[in-house]
Formats: sequence, structure tokens, C-alpha cells
Amino acid sequence: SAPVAAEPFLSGTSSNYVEEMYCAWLENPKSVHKSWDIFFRNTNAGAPPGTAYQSPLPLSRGSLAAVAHAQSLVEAQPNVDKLVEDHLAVQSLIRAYQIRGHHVAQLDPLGILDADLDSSVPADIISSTDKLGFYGLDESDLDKVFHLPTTTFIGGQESALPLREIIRRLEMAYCQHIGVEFMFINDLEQCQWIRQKFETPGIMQFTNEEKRTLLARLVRSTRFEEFLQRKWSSEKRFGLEGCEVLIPALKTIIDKSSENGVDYVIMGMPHRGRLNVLANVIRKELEQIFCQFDSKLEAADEGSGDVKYHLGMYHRRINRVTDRNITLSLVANPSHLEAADPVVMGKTKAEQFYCGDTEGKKVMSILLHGDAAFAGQGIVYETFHLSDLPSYTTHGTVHVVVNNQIGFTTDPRMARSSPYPTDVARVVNAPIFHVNSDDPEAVMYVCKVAAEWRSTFHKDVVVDLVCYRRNGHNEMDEPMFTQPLMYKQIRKQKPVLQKYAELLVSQGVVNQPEYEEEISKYDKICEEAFARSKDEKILHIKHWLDSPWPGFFTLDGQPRSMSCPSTGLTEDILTHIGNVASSVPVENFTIHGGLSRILKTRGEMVKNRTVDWALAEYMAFGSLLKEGIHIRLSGQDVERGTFSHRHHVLHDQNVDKRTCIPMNHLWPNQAPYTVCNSSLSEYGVLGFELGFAMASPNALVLWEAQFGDFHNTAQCIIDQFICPGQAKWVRQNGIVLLLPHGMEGMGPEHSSARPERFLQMCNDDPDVLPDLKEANFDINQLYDCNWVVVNCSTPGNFFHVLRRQILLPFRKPLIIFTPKSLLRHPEARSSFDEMLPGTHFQRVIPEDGPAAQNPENVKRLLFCTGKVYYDLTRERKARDMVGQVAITRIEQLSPFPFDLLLKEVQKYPSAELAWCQEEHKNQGYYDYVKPRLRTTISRAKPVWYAGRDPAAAPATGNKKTHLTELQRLLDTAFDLDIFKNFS
Amino acid sequence: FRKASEEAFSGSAQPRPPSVVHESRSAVSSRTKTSKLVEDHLAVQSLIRAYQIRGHHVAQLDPLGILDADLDSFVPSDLITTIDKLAFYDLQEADLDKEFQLPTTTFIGGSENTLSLREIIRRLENTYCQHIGLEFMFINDVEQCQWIRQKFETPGVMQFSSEEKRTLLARLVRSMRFEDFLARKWSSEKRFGLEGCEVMIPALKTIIDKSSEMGIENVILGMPHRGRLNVLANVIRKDLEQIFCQFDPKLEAADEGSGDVKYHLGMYHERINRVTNRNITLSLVANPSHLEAVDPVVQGKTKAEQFYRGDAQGKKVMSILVHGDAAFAGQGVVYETFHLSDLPSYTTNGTVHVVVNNQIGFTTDPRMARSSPYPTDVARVVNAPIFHVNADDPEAVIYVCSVAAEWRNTFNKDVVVDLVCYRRRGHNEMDEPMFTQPLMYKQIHRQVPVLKKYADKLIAEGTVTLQEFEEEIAKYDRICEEAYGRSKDKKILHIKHWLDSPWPGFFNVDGEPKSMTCPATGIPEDMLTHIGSVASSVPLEDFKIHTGLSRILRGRADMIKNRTVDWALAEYMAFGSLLKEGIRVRLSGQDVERGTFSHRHHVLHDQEVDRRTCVPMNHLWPDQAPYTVCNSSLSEYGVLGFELGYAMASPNALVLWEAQFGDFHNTAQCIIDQFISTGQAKWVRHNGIVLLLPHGMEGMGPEHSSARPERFLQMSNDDSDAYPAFTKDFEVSQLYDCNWIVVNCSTPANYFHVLRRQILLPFRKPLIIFTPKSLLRHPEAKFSFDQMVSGTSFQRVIPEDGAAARAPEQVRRLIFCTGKVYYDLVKERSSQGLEEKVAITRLEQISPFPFDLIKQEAEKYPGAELAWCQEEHKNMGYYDYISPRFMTILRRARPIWYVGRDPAAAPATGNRNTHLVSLKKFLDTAFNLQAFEGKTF
Repeated sequence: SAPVAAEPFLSGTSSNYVEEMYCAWLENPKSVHKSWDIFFRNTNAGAPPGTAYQSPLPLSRGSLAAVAHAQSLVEAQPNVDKLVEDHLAVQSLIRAYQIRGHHVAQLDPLGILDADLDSSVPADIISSTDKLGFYGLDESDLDKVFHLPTTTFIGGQESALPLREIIRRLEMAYCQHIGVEFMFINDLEQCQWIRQKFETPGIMQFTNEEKRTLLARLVRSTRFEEFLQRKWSSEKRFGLEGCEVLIPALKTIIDKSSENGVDYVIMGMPHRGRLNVLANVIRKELEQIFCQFDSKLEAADEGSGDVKYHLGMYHRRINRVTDRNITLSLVANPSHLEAADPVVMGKTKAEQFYCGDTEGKKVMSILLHGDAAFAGQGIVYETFHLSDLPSYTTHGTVHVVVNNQIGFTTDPRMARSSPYPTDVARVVNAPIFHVNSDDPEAVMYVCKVAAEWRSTFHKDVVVDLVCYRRNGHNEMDEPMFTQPLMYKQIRKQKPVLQKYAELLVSQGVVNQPEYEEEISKYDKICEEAFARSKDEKILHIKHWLDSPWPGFFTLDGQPRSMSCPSTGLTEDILTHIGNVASSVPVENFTIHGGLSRILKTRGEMVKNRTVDWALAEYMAFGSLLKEGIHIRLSGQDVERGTFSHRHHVLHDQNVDKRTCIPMNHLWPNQAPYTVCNSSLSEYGVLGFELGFAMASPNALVLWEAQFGDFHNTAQCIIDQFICPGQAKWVRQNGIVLLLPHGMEGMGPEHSSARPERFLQMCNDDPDVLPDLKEANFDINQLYDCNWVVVNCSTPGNFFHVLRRQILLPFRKPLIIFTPKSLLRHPEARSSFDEMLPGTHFQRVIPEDGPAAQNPENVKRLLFCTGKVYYDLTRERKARDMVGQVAITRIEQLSPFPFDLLLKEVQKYPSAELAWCQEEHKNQGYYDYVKPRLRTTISRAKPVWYAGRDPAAAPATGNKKTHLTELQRLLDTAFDLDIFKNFS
Repeated sequence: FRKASEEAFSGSAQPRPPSVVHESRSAVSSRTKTSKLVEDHLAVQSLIRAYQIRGHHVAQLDPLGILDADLDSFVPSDLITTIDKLAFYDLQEADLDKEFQLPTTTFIGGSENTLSLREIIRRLENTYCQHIGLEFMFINDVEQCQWIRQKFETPGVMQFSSEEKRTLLARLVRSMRFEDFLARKWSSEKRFGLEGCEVMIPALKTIIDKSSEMGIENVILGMPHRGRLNVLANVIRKDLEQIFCQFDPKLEAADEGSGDVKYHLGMYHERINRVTNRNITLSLVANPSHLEAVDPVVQGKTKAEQFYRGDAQGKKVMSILVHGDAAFAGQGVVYETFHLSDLPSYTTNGTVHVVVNNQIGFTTDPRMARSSPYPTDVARVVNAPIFHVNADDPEAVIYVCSVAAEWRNTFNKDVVVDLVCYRRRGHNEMDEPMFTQPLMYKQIHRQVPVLKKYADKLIAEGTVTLQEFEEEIAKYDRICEEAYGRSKDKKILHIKHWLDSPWPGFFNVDGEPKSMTCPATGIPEDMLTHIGSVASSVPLEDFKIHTGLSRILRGRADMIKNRTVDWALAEYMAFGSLLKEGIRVRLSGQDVERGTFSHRHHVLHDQEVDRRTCVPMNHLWPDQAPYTVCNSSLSEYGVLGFELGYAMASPNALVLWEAQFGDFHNTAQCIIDQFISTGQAKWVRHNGIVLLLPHGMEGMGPEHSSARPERFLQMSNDDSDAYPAFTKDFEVSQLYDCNWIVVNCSTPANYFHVLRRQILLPFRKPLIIFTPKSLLRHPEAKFSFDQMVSGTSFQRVIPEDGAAARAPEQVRRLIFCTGKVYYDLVKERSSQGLEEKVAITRLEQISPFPFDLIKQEAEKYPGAELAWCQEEHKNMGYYDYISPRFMTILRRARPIWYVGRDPAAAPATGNRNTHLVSLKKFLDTAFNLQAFEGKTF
């Protein structure tokens, strides 16, 4: 059928010989060249193209016989139509430009390196007239008119063109300052779309108005850096010099997207050019930027702050080009390159979610990258792999690579194993537009197409700005040591502004005085802002907030109260949620027999007014949903749960891919619940969820590690964002990390979530006893901390801490060490009584057995946290020491519950104090708890240790050793003489 | 679905302009018979090309027949899946029996040049649409494409002799019965069995056989847990009783380390390959649960083995990496490792990647796990061919594997074999997969095991008899039973039997160090002078360096003249002297050639000739060991893993990874946590890797200030509360017992010594060095040759040696510190004129903690208050580590006060002013002799 017949030419099927010969020619030019003579002779004699050519060794089989055969064909059919051949040749030629034109495009403004490391010149691109021979054409064919195939748009209105013109137009489209890589995309519509955008004659024309706007933007971009250079010549600012075109590029993407309906753009970028983007794209007030350069300015006391080229920003304004409202935000980021990528994506997803933008028509993300990091950092790949997953897609991101052609001091040849830094985009079939950044109009055009691509197909696209770095890695660095020739060329390189201004002046679009006026106008703006910046007495990090939460805080940015209501629920809510959790709310839905059993057990628990871990979580989530709080639980295999206890998504056993999420069937007007299995990534996914949680305080966003120890591949997100985020950027974040933790004899992996590491990063002082009498002590303590670390020993407390996370008047990251074996432990159940109105999260669960009734008889008070409690009580019972040893659980480890623990210690005046943990001594909680307990009791008594010895690995791999160690620590815990001889 | 419908839209539903073929043909208004012939030939060529490009989309890759292995489920319209699709090419049924000349880009003709269209299609279907799916047409190299086409298109190329089939069957028997045996004996133990991908054993063995045939002598493997025991048993040939006794929960561990679970352990085995009769060494690198983390480690080890064998082209040593489908798509380290594959100092000249494609990740559907059609698309980034194969067709698998091995040997590039299989059980043997994948598992329960299928086929063919087959099974079952019997005799588990990298000759036969002493690390003065003069010169003729660099070299020469060194020179001396002793030195990391702080300059660049460089370190001595300094890609996880692997291969090399800034180490945290800190405890293997982590609070903001020493110290395995026994070899035995060494040198000379000590020690431990930034150029941080000449050694503690030390009884306060803050303290002390009242002692080796020397120092100043001063925040730096250890050595009799910044969430402030204020504040405290009056401890 005619319509689909286009496809073979799309895939280049007719040009296969030719293509292959080109490559063969590269391999062995001489022999192949000879064979071309045969080819030409045969074709001139009229042999059909398929038979005329026999390739030389090593490609051919039985070439002599084949040639003989071809010759016999020639003799038999002397009148094969040359016209057909030539048409097919021309189609091959067009296809060659579409596929390989980017290899010869003039992408490097310096003209030294090729932007791709593969420096061969394809033989099928007509870089000189003699290469026409490649197609069996010669100079005389240049003026023949050829019909154009439908896979090209170079004809414009015309359906036929002379060969000369065809080549000229292809060169214009593919071999000038734009290199288009797209033919690997396996979708005809998308390929046609791109071809139309680049091949249509005259499509890249700009009005005078557009040119003047572009020039003005270049003026701002260039003069901003020059201004900083003039004023603070010895300050690091990671200026944009050599890629000034980035500013108009980003503005074009934003203008175009705004035109297509986008009203919120979220950006992420590294340090280079960041100040310029803040000033000229986001439109941060200049004085706010300038005063950051004043090293004597004191910080307001909101946090410890960050350097100026890491800060974020949020700004809402009218887009001047489209006259529409647009909100721009640049996400604050650390030095760890590309780490902000998933954070930006997560924030974008959240904003789309909150405005019901399921197709990404209103909110979009732009990510900027450096060339070396784009190729080097695995997080880039992880982020790309999120791009098309239902619960993680942002419906297309525009990636802009600031391709300096160097990474600090490292040559690209030592920095990547692929021709371009952008090859990662091929993994997800995103088109890649390379462009010479010294051609501002080409850059604008490419950016415009990229924005249109995104709004048309809602897929990722990459703009590779091939540029240079005029200075060293920073302004203080000497690049000549390691890149002498490149930098010699750079010294000679005329700045792009000057080049472009000269062009426009020569075109008569602007005149010299106008241009100079534009410059002095902007310089004056800078000078005035500079003068105003001198009046600033203090730095406010809050001016740099990237995600304001309107309405959540008071106008001063303070919490609306310093108290937390009860986190309990009424019995009927508990029962209702429990009933849904133990049922299948959809008709005709067959679940697995094993799951029916699980649900039945749940039903019984609800009847008995008890909950296990999974039910407690259900209650917490379900009740928050009722209150309009969106809940999102993301991570590897979270839908079912690593330990097969959660089952939030039911699967019909008979109908493929039919699922049911009972949590979304709780109440008529509930908030939506999202539970999503992520890709097998931690770094990317945790970053994504952090970004999601940034967008709004009215959502409970949880990331669960498959096992707690996997958090360390996302260590950068924890270290650079979660722990210090508020201190650096005054932005709060209520993300919850669920980290399965516990020593169960399963080996060094999967045992420990490394609580010691989280506790070490807490910002409280072990040696300072806070004022325990202060009103709202517990809330103040929470308000002052950088994150909350808990290890709950009962489902009820887990329920409360999850609810507290939302009921608090501020947001802090919450780290929860969650149990594994306790999920099914018959004693690890809580009664509804512990969850009713008036109940709340217990930071400490005091001993409440016989020991508590006669505290004066108690010889030892054991403190512990988490699962070891159950081992201890079992052992205590076995040893019949319930009167002698009290066991008190610390549920909230940080901030440390000084107040409650002091009470506990005072209650048992004659008891020795000991800390018991199942983790090794240099791990777990001991190093954190001990000095704080000592402070609590004013160092009046020692705090003994009962637990495993220090170790390099978190747990032994030997089951027997595990059990021996466990017994030993229990022995220590209950041997009342063991500490006698120590001081 | 979304993708499918998109495709439907673009592929057929969309109204499309008239076809190219059509149009070009209409240009030829008078259509002659000849032109029809031409057109049809071209059409046939298009058709062939379509199969080559897109055949894999319709190949029968999924043994379950449910999912397509690619998530892109459309059927390309240019493949002749039904007769009517011939029309796509303007061909019709009548053309099927016409003969066509074959183009040179296909090998389907075999010795024939023409074939009927019917036969062409049949042969293309055979090649591209059966159980093998080939993705290779994206490779921009005709020779490589032709090679692949020839391997798969040539008729009859995939034929096996009876002998080969019987070998394959026997291997399948082993693979299958091994798992059956384990399932029978230990039905409730996790073992991450291979069921559903039993074919992996013959697959790996084929790759190894084939590679051995082509000259490979050493194969280094990395793989996740699934099927690992089977690979150990049947590929590496670990003694079965060693494996079985791991299942005995009551067996005690020998005391060599804390050990690891059986499906993580590594192995090293040298044997004769039965097929090629050549010696082959196989090693499987131990790994953690963190999937794919072992990839760069395997590559580094492979690179090292190639280096030591002088195998520059990878002809003798190769690596095989086995991946799971979900991790291959999910983990960034996969991408980072691929980007190392073609870098001069990191390439292993081609790796064979085998993906065990379960079509599921634990409980997660592939559609929720990746954004690309196949899990293998990452290989496209480096233009590696990808061979998908249906794992239920063992012969196809074996064929693909032998081609992959040949590819690697021919082109020395990476290649991917994607074994599309299934997982007969849940994620582990205890897991119920029906909850989440009901329909897939219904099909799996019906699925005939591959062994049965293949045996039936061979019996039907007459290649084996049923009796022979049953005998083969019984034979292997007996082997297992016997080994099981023997495993019962084991009384103890030895982790050392699972060592993946033995270092023959380095330890004594019991695996113990040959001595427990470390010689002096100083070197003769003439050697210092010689190295120094090379370090300050350009050893090549006509080599023009930058004038700024000339100044630097001149500065170095002046230092040598004055018998002093700065940091860069001290490093030069250490490296240079080790090279003389035959120790290979490799320094890798981002921008290490010049150094982040532009102080090192180990590679000189000719300012006139492009890419002409000179590494003076390689011009030191005639017979020196080679020095490698290499800028890495902008990766930490991948590169640190690589260097760790490199350091595993031999103890006689100093392998250093330098972070661009110390805080970047946390993107490689997994390598540090899972391999460096715990490697010896888990796997009894030593590793002498050195981490250079630039660290120091210089007011540059929260980033780039701290290398997080507190984290490394927290992971040190010594007991803070145990009072040590001061034996004669205390210093060395303390080093022997630790899991790693953490130092922060305050002088270049000490840095020199600690680097040399790393090699002169009779064992290997990872060494973490916090290196300075501003001290690199600090005028006072220069030191005399006297501290480096023969007889001198690394100083774990540098005691006060000024006025205070001469009259210790006068001293009111003894400040302990480490690293750069020392210079601030000394300056402040002198400005306050407190030289006699305040002594300052530097802790250079923080862990293992130098209890002995600290005790001496504390006792020397009986009347002094003790204080610890650090510039880091209180919950960071060293305080939490040193404080309890001080208390122990002081027997809790005297306090050690804290002087430094308050606890904080971020490692440093972003405000310059705050930085200076807090510095001033703690310096004031340090020298305020009343500061701690009235405080309790």
C-alpha cells in the first residue's frame, strides 16, 4: 500500500550499498576506490544498481563470479533507466545528510576540535564535487532536476529541485552551525516533524524585532559578567564567558513554552553561569546578587547559608514576549554535579500533580548540564530512566548542555567513551540538537524547536550548546597549563556579542549608537543596583528560597504555632480504615489465596481492636488522606513491600494488569494516594521524592529503601540535600525515609541502615542540657533540629509518628528505621487504645511492668531502641528478673528526649544505667546516646554498654556467630555484676 | 500500551503523503520491464535491510510468550509477517518465486548469489526473527556490521555437532540438578537459584571456552546473587562440599573475619579448560548486595591483570559481567562503567556483558522499571552490539555466546548478551510472586524446564538416548551426594577458601604477614635530590612549557637547593622512590594530572605542539616501575570502584584515588561502605588503596570544605573503651588489626612517610588521607630533607617541641589537634605570647589511635588542662572519635575539653563573615585559660 511505502527509505534501505561502501572506503580507500570504477563503468553501461557494484575484499563473497554475473546482466539489459538510479541515489544522498550531516557541521566555535570525538568525515556527504562519484553522479548532474521524496522538506513549495540546489539546501540544514541527531528515533512522525523544522527553506529567519531582542539579551548576558569581573576581579563566580548565548537560549525556551501554555518552569543547573541566569532569566534583583559578593556582610540567623553560585530562586512575573504569567524557579543545588537533576524532576512532577496537569502542559522542567558531568555521572542515566515511567514522568524535559569541550582540566577524550557527551539521550530515544554557540540565531532556533518538540511530543530533548570557557574552571584558574593550544585560540576568539552586533550593524538592523546605548543602559542598571546593594546590611537567605509554601507559615516565615495536636483518631475511623484494608473494594476481583488469608487476618485484628505494622501504616495514611493530605510512597517494590506485608496494590489473578488500590477507596472526598514501585535506583529516586516533597507541605512523601543499607548509593542526596537543606537554603522539607533495619543474622548486607550515620549528622550538642522547663520543649526541640530520627518499637507509635509529621506546624525530614522480623512478630501489635484521640507519639516508652511498680528495687535500668526490646523482655522473663531490671525504650533518638529520660532515671534511684543495642559498638546509637544520657544526668553515673563489639562490617555472615553474639549481649544486659569492676 | 498506541498512530493510522517509492517511480512515466527489475531489486535490498534493523522486534525472545522482551510492542510494517505485507515493497505473491541477486550486505545466500524471494524471506526470518534478536545496525562501522551479519546470516552457521550438543546437555544437567539438589536438601534456605535461566551455565562456559581458544588465560567475572552458587560450582568449579557446608547454620566461622553470606563470596581458581586444554584462571569477584557496584571493581582488577601481564590489547585477560535486567537499567554505575570502557587508562579492551533478563525486578514490572524498550539500551551509548536471545533455546544461546566471545576478541569492544528468561520462583526461594505477577507466574508454572525440553529434542533427534540422559543426571546427582557427605565432616568455615585475589608470595603459607615490623621510611639524601631535580625540570628536549609553570618548577628547584619540600614535592619523593623499588604507582581521579589546586603538574603540556605531553616521573631511573597518572571521567562511584579493583590485583602497587574535593567521596559511598571499610572482614582480602581527600575549612562554603572525617572514623573498628596492651610491636599490630588507617598530615614530610609506609608494611590496609588545600602553598608548611632522610619514619603524633616542651611543668594547657588548624593555633599562640603556657601537639594518625604516644604526651604535662581543638563542627571532624579514646587512655581521670565550632547540619557556613567570626571565637577559647573553669566532665 502506498502510505507505508515510505518506510524503507526512512530506514535508508535503498542506500544500503552506498552507505556500506562509504564505510568500506574508510577502511581501505584504495581497493574500494577501484571497485567504484567498476561500478561507474557498469552503471554507465546501464547495469541495474543492484548488480553493477561488487565490493572489494574483505566484504565480498565470490566477487569474481558476481562480477561476471553482473556483466552478463549488463549485456542482457543495456537500457536500464538511469533516471531511476539517479533518483534513488539522490534519496540516499538526502538520507546521508539526515543521518550523518552532524558529523561535518561546524559545531565548534573554536574550530579546533570536532564536537564529536569521531573525527572522520563521512564519504557520503558531498564536501567536494568529486564526492558526487560516490553516488554515481557527476558534475554534469548538478543541474538536473530531481523529484524530491516525501521524507524531505528542502523543497518547500516545490516538489523538484536541481541537484545543486538539493545539496546546497541539505548543507544549509545539516552542515552549518546546527548538527541534528535524530534518525535513531524509531518513529516516523517524530522524524518527519524534525525534518520539517530544519529543512524547510527559510524557516530559520528572524524578524528585525527578534534580532534586536536577541542582541539585547546578549548584551545583558555579556555585560553582567563584565560588570562582576570589573567589580570583583578576584572572586570566584563561575562566569558564563564563552557561552553567553545561554541566556537568550533559556529565555527562548521559556518564551516559546509560555506561548504553548506552560506557566511554570522549574530549572536545575550547575554553578557555571548561575548568577547570570538568576539575574537575567529568573530576574533576581541585581542588588541581592551583588551584596552576596560583600564578604563582610553578616548573615541573618536563619541558617548557615551557602555560596552564591548554589542558591535557588523562585520568581513569578509576566513574560514580556507572551504577556502571560509565568513562574520560574531555579532549584538550589550542591557542588555535586547533576545531583539536582532528579530533584528538579520530582518538584516538577509534584507541581504538575497539584495543578492537575497530567500531561505536562502547564509545568515543565529545564535541566542544564556540563559536558563532562553529563557523560560522567550515573545519576544522569538514572534520571533519564525515570523520564517515561508513569509515576515519575514529567512529560518531557528540555536538557541544555553547556558543552565547554573540557571538564575542569580534563580533555573530553579522557572523559567519555562515546562520540558526544549527549549520547545518553539515545537510551530513551530523545533527539539531540548540537549547535555552535557562536551563532546566536542558530541557537535561538534550536531552542525554539526544542521547546516545541517538548510541547508536541512530551518527550525529552537535548540541546548541546557547543561553546568554550573563556577563563579557567573558575576565574582564578590558569587553563594554559593543561590546554595550551585551545586557550591560545580562545584568546583570539572574538566574543559572541561583538560578532553578532557587527552582523546586525552590517545588516542595518541596528546602528552602532543604538547598540552602544543598549550597553550603557544595562551597565547603568548594574551600577545603580550596585549602589543599592551597598545599603544592604545583612544577608537574607530566605530571599533565595526556591519553593515558598504560601499560607503554611506566618508572613515572617515562622510556624503558626509551636504545638502539635494529638495524633490519635476516633475508633470509627480506625475501624473503617481497617475494614477497607482487609477487603477488596472492587467487584469481581479475584485475589490470590495467600492474600485472602492475609486480609482475613487483618479483618480479625480490626475486630480485636489491634494493629500490626502494615495496618498501623494503613491507619496513618488513610486518616491523612481523609484530611486532604496527598500521600506518595515510592521506592523499590513498595507496592507489595519488600517483606510482602503491605499489599497496597492488589492484582487480579485472572485479568492481566488489573489492579486495585484499596487506599483510594476510603472516603468520597479523600486526597489521592500514590504508591509506586520505582526503577532499581536509589540516588535518582530519592532525589526525585525529595523534590516532590519540596513542592508542598501538605503532602506526606515517603521513600522506602528496599533494605536500609541501600540508602548509601543515595548518600549524596542525604548529605547534600536532606540533612543540611534547611541550613543551607532555609527551605524545609518533610520527606520521610523508611529504612528497614535490624540484625536478623542475614549477613553483613541488609542488616543495618547505619543509624549511626544519621545520628552523627544531627546538629544538637551532646554536652548541653537544654532548658527542660521550657513550654513546648518537645516541639521546640523538633523545630531546632535538622532532622528527626526515630526507631519505633510498636505499630501504634509508627502510626503516630507518621501523623505527627503532617500535624506539626513545620516540616523536618523524618528518618525511620523500620522493622523486618517485627512486621510479623506476634507481640509487636498495638491496641486501638493506643491510637485513640488524645494519644500521641511517645518519644520514650517507659518501663511499665513490675519494675515500674517498685522502682526502688530496680538494680539496672536498661535503655534500648527498636527490635532488641523484644529480645530483652523475653530474656528478662526467662531469667525471672522482671523486678530487678527495668527496660525503657527510646523511640525518638534525635532530637534526644532529655526531659523524659531524666524522669526515668530519677524514678530508679539505685539502678545502674546501661544502653543495650544489637548493633556493633561503633554503629547503632551508642555513640550518640551515651554523651547525651550523661548530660541528662549531669554525669552523675556511668552509662554502661551492652552490645556487640566494634566491627568493620555491620554484621557477621555466619549465622552461628550471629546467635553467639546475641546471647552474649543479652548475658551482659542481665548480668548484674558485670560492670562491678569497671570505673 | 501508550507506546503501542503511539506506534500504531505513526505506523499506520496516520494519513501519510504518497510514498517515496511511488513518487520516484511515477517520475519514470514509461515503466519498462527493466526498471521494474531494478525497482524490485532495490525493494528486496530494502527488505533485507529492514530485517537487519528491525527483525529483533518480532523475534520470539520471551520463553513465556507473554511479554515482548522489548516494551515497544508494535510490529514493524516493513517486515513480511504476512503475505499481504509484500505490498509494502510493491511486491506481490507472484514475486515470491522470482530469483533475486543478493547484495553484498547480506550473507544469507551462502555460496549462492541469487535466491528466490521466498527463500530470502525465509532465511531472513531464520536469522533475525527466531530466538535471536540482533541489535547492531546503529554501529557506524561497516566492517563490524558485516562481521555480525556474516556470523548470523550464513546458512547453516548455527549447526552443532552431536558432541557439542551432548556437552551442552551435560552442562544443562549440571546447572539444573545443582539447583534441584540444593532445593531438596535445604528447601527453606535462600539461595537465589538459577531456575528459569539454567542456560546461563553453558552460556558462560561457552564464552570462556571460546575465549580460551583465542588465547585468553585469565577471566574475571562479576555477577549478582542470582545463580551465583551455580556459577561457583559449575563454571568456576568450586569444590561442592565447600559450597554445601555454607548451608550448615551451626558451622562456626574461623576467626579470620566476620564473613559474608554464601551468595556474595568470591572465588579464584586455576585449572585446565577441558575444551581447549589450556590453562585458565577464573575468578569471581566477591560482591555486596548493592547491585552493579562490582562492575567497576571487576574492570579495575581486569585492567591491573592486563597491565601486570603486559597485555596491552586485552588478548590474555578479559572480564565478563553478569547483570540483572532491572539493575542494568536502574543503576547509574552501569552507565559510569560503560563510559570508562574506551578511556585509555581505564579500558579493559572489551567486556562481555551477560544480562539475566528475568523480565521482572523483584516484584516490579519492567514497564515501571525503565524508560527504554530494552534493559540493554545503555550499551548503545558506546556502540556495543546487543544480542537478545530466548533462554529456552539453548543452542541459540550457545551460538550467541560464542559470537560474543569472538566479537570481543576481534574488535576488543564491549558486547551485550541479553538472556531473555524467567524466574521460576520468587525473588528468593521464600517469596511468593503470584501476589503481584499472577498471570506471568501461571505461565511459568506451566513452563517445561529447559533441560527437559532440550533433552526431549536430542532424544528425538537421536543424539542421545533416554538412558544416557538419565545416566548423566544420576552421575551428577551422585557427585552432589558424595560432596554433601564430605561437607558434613567440615567442622569450621574458612572464608579464606573464598578469596578472589590471592597474592602469592606476599604472605607466608598460613596467610600471615611475613613480619610484624615496618622499616624506616626515610630515603637517602641523594635520592631526594635526584627526584627533586627531575621534579623541577623538563626531561624532554625542545619541550616548551608555560611560563607560569616554569616559575613553579624554578620554585621547586630552589626548595631542593634549600633542602626543603612542599606538599607536591613530598609526594614526588614518595612516588619516585617507590618507583625505583619496582613498585608501580597509579594515581587516578578527576584532574589529578595537574591537581585540583594546580600544585601537582605531573603531566607537562607542550605549549606549541598539540597533545604533546611529558610525565617527568617516568624519567627518574632507567629500570623504574612505570608511573600512571590519569585524569578520570567525571565519576566517583565508577572510578573509585575501578581503582579498588586495580589495587586488589597485587600488593606491590601503590594505587591512589584522589577526590576532586573530599566531599565528593559520598557519591562513591557504596564503594567505601561495601568494599573498602568492610572488605577484609567480609572477604579476608587485603587492599592497600589510598584515598586522597582534600579537606579543610577555608570559608568556601558548605561544599568542598569537609571530606567528612567523622564518617571514616566512625567506621573504624577499634574499641574506644578498651585500654590497650602496649606490646613491643604495638604500632604495627594496631595497624594489622584495624580495618583501615585514617591520617591527616600536617607536614609534607609526614605525608611522604605515610605514603611510603603504605608499601613497606608487611600487609595492606586501605589508607584514608585528608589532604590539605591552602597548606599546599602555605609558606610554613615546608619541611627539611632532615625529616625524610634514611632512618626517619612516619610520626603518628608530632609532639610540641617549642618553649612549652622545654619546661613542661609550666604548661597550663595542652592542646591536641590535627591538620591545618595547627598553623592557626601556632599563629594565635604566638600573637598572644602564650608559647610557654600552651603546648600544641598534633595527632597525625587518627585511627588506629596512637594511645601510646598520646599517653606520653599527656603525662609529660602533668599540670596542663587537656583540650581538643578542631576547626570542624562538633558533630563532625574528629572529636567524637578521639574523646572517648582520650578518656580511656587517661583512665577517665582528666577531662579533654572541646574547642571548636558548634554542632551543625551543614559542614560549613556559606557566609564568609560567619566563617571568620567562628574561627576567631574558637581560637579565643583555645587560648583562654579560664574557659573551662568550673565545668564538669
